[in-house]
Amino acid sequence: MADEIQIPKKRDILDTLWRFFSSFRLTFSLLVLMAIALSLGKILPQATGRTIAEPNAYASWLASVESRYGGLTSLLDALGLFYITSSFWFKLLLATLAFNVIISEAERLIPLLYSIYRPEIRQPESFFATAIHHASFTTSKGLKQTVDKVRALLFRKTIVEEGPSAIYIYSERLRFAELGIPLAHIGLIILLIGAILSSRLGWREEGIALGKGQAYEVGHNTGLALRLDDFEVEVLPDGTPLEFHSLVTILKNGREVKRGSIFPNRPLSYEGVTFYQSSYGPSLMVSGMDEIGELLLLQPFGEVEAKEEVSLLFSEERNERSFAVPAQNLFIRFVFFPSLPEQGIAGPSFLVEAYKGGVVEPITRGFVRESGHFDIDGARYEIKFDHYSILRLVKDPGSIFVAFGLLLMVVGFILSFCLPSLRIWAMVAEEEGKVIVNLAGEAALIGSPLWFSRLAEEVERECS
Amino acid sequence: MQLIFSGAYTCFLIAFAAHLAYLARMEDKIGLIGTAMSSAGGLFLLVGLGLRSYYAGQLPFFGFYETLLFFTLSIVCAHLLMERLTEAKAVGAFSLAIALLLGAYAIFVLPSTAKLYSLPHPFFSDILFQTHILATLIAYGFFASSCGAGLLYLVRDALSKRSFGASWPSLEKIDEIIYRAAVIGFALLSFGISVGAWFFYRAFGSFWSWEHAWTFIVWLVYLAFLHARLMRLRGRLIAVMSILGFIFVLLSAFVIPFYGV
Repeated sequence: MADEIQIPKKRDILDTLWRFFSSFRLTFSLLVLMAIALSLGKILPQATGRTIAEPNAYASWLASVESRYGGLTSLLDALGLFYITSSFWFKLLLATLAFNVIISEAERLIPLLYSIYRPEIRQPESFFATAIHHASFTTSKGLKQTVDKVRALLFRKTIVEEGPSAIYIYSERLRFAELGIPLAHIGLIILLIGAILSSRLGWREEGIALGKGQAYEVGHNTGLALRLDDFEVEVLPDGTPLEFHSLVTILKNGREVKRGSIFPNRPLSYEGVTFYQSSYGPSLMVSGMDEIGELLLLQPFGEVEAKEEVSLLFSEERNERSFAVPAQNLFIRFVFFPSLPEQGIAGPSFLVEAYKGGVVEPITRGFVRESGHFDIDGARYEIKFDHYSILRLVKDPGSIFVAFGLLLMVVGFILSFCLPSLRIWAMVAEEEGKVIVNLAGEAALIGSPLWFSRLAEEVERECS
Repeated sequence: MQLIFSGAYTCFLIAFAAHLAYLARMEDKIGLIGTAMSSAGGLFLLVGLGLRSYYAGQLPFFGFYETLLFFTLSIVCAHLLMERLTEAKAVGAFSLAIALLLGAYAIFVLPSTAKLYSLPHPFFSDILFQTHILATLIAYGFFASSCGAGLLYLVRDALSKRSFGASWPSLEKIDEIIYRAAVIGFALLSFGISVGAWFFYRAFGSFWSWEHAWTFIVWLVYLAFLHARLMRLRGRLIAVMSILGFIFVLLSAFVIPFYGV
């Protein structure tokens, strides 16, 4: 009877799509595209998430970069190259990568698990001719002796099965390492879920500046408030910080619920909200007293309420603070300098200028570096140099998923790329008084043909 | 200290010359001189950086100068380890050329003000951060080795029809070195990035920041490189990818953070 003619199965569209989405080629292309996109993002200026969210802020941001990119600005903007990680096409890249990972695992995971726990020991002759790594030789040694020699040279986990016409040997090393790729893929999915959770349910408040005794309402329906009880900083004379930390009290609906210290790298958490030490800045506490010893009311610039003591918080970006003294018809201005090398001052210092109403030139001008006092028009102003704390508040329900996903990914990649999982099949058969040895090998990822050729040469040498 | 670093550099120069001579003559004795001088130079550099750390009371990677020197040391160590693992001395000439360029820039070009000790900000004196930098710089050393092997591959391939270079390691062997060095580097970088992410979360409340995206880009590039191997890509393309990957390393580690290009 004539052999039945095998008509190759025509691939349908679903099959083609499945192959496309499960391919390593797609993974490779997506990774390269993401690397190019992120590199572009590092080269081009990127607008922050807050700027993008506000159309007016984004328009003025675009105007600020227009001088650099001229006519290209609108094109770069249209392509989303000024906000790459927030752009639709970058999110599409990420979603495609996630889909690629899910489809490739759906295709490979079950057969992989099956082949790890139930390895195919007997392989057909054609397998030994078409395997990626294969070798064949004959030996004049006896069948049993050859099998023993081959077995001794293979890995610790070796299985021997006797077939009707040949003896089959299967050997493997570090097979579990092949689970590394599925592990990394699962890790990536968990990480992406965590990132989505963080962006949808999480929030963060940056740059919360608190002077000693000041409190901050956390908001976000938490009922929490944070009060800075004390702030301690240790600096070198040139202003280099050695150590700093905040002593805080957390209040829930006005009631103290937790006290603690926040150090850099040692945040404080309460009910899922984490309080981080971000940085600190210089501050001045200023109070004034007239000739008869009465406290003067000071009106900080930009604030509604006049106070007997004002707290002036400075930063390198916002280095000027001022207040008025209505009783004296005075306006006092402080300018912060991190250092004044030309005047021989290494650490922070403040320029103080006092202006009398209607006079352009200051009536008093000088520098202060530490706590002390100065007199103007018979009134004495006490200055207390201090620091204020800058804190960051974060609620990130996705962080645990991100951390776990990251861990799985790293373990998975290290397992799969660094542990050489190897498999060897041997078929030893006796034909016309000679023993034929067929060898085939598979390396999961290490992929180099050298390990197999070395092993095959050794087996042949020992058997000859 | 400068004397110790200059001594290390002299050793590297001799090692480089010996490796070039080895490529020309393929004599084991010359190869041994190259290995011995690389080891001696590495030892000098280690002692120098160790003393610097002792005096500064911190690990030696808190300034451009120290980072460059530590990177040079990690390239030499990676080269020596790969040489031992693969028994191929021929790759050394190319890896050492990279180390020599970086070392020369650090020791002889940088102004003395750049060589002063710099104190880490309290955030960065954390052990996790230091582990992150250590693992990342060692990973970059292995990427330099992979790049060195990639360069050797291209030269060997170009010379394949000539008698010169015929006794060099086979293209398959060099291909294996490119891959193995990249794999070790990738594992170390993955570890370094995950420790860095942990540190960053503890310090700043997020696992990464856009400012540090270059390290992640390098990781993506090498992940793509390893996937290229999964696609059974071999040869010239892989060699070119290993060189491109290392260009990203140089951009990420030195050019961009320190020069803000």
